[in-house]
Amino acid sequence: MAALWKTCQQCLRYRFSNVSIYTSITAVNVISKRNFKAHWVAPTLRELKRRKVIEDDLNGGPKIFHRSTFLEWNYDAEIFAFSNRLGEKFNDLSLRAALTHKSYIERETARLSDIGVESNLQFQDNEALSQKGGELLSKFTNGYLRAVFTQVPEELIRAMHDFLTSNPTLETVARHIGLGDLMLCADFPCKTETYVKSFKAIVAALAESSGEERARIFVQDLVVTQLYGQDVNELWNPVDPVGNLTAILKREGKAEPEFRLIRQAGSNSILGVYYVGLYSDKNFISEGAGESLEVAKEMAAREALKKFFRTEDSMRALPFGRQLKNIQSKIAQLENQPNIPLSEWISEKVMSAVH
Amino acid sequence: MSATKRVQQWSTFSRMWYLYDAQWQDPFHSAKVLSPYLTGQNKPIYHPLNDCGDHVVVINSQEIALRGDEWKKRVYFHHTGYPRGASWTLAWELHQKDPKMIMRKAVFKAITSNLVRRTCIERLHIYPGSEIPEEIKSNLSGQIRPVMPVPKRLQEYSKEEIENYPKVFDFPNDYILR
Repeated sequence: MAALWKTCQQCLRYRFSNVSIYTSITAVNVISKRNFKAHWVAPTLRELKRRKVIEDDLNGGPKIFHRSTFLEWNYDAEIFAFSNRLGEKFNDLSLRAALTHKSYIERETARLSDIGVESNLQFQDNEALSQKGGELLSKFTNGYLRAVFTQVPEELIRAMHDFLTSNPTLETVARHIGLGDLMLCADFPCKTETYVKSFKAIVAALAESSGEERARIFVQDLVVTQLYGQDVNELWNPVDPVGNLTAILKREGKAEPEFRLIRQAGSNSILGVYYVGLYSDKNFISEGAGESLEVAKEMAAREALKKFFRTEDSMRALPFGRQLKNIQSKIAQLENQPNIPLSEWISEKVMSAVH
Repeated sequence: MSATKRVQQWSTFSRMWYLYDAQWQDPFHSAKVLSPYLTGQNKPIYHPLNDCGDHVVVINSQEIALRGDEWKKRVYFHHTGYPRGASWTLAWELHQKDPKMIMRKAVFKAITSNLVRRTCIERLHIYPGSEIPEEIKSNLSGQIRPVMPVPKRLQEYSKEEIENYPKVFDFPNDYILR
């Protein structure tokens, strides 16, 4: 493959590279060459790397520079590119305000007053926007979760919501849409709280600019998708699954749960495994496996609850994008309507599934 | 690892305990059937280094059946390593000395010769009769079908079954057989 970069004359002279500046882009014949570098090249590079590693360790990691310190940094162009990258229309003022932090404004005013320039900077910070954005974020995630997980008790909805709106999740999203380069903040490398604040402010800015509908879709596409691949039952599961299961069956008027040993292997060995089945009035509900009878029994109860709540491992994939077209109104409606809590959960009350 | 995944992992890599009745079975054919279970080749998670073999408990190894005149002709060779340490033992002699040896040797040979073979053969439990210790019995979780269906001896048929058995012809009651 022909190289598309230019090689400096020094490197050519010392033959660090086999490619000359005048290589054509369409390379038809590939000529393989042997590597004739001077005997001191490898040891020198090795020594330089060794010293760099030691110095980086002393400084607590390799030096990181903000993108704005590199060539060809045009903040206005970056702002324009950001909104186009996301396919959203932002008000210029709202977007800039969303990306400006109080710490930056304070630093700049202090710097200018040190110089002696009296300036009334027109900057607006993102405090109010991030507050509003946080509320919107919460509202939109709750709406989606309740519309998609109709069978699930409110405790699990809350756990999923807490996971999605947690700082680590929002920081991941913020980093990946490129806010790291765009934020105006005093700290570098930026802290998690800074990223999260900016992201929330972006959500509010979008709601202001393009309407709540667009902001809702934005949150669904970027934040709620972080739930993909996550086992929701790990975010929350009831402390006493057997007790809760018994209560639910009692409320539904069904017989008490009966646990029976279905299969076992190696009971006397350390690798023993037991399969326990859960029956209600001789009807099979679920089975669970475990290294002891107690574990297998608990897993069977957990599987039964998962079956009721429709959060099994084999549950349908979460809908996004076009698949949500018909239920956006339902999502908006359920934003303020919590699901049934576990203490009152009963399958008759949750029969209507939206998707 | 989540609770569900942990339990799934445990049950996937658990070992089965199979029972095999060697009554009137050919040990060499049986060995060919048993060796995949010992190495774990019957599982989709099989890999030579995975150590996923199951346990096999063989009962009635006293009652195995060798083909033709193999009892008289088949010879087991052993050398102690010392001069004049070679010995050739006939199958019936070996079976008298230790009724488990023929079965064990057959299975050992059926497993591919590699470094895991010794581990696999440790998981083969052979008993000459039908008595199994309680510790082993409580582990059992499955059974392997015998290679040859065990025929029913004439003495095992009840009088009613013999009388009611469909016959084409039978001698009259007063006929005297010479």
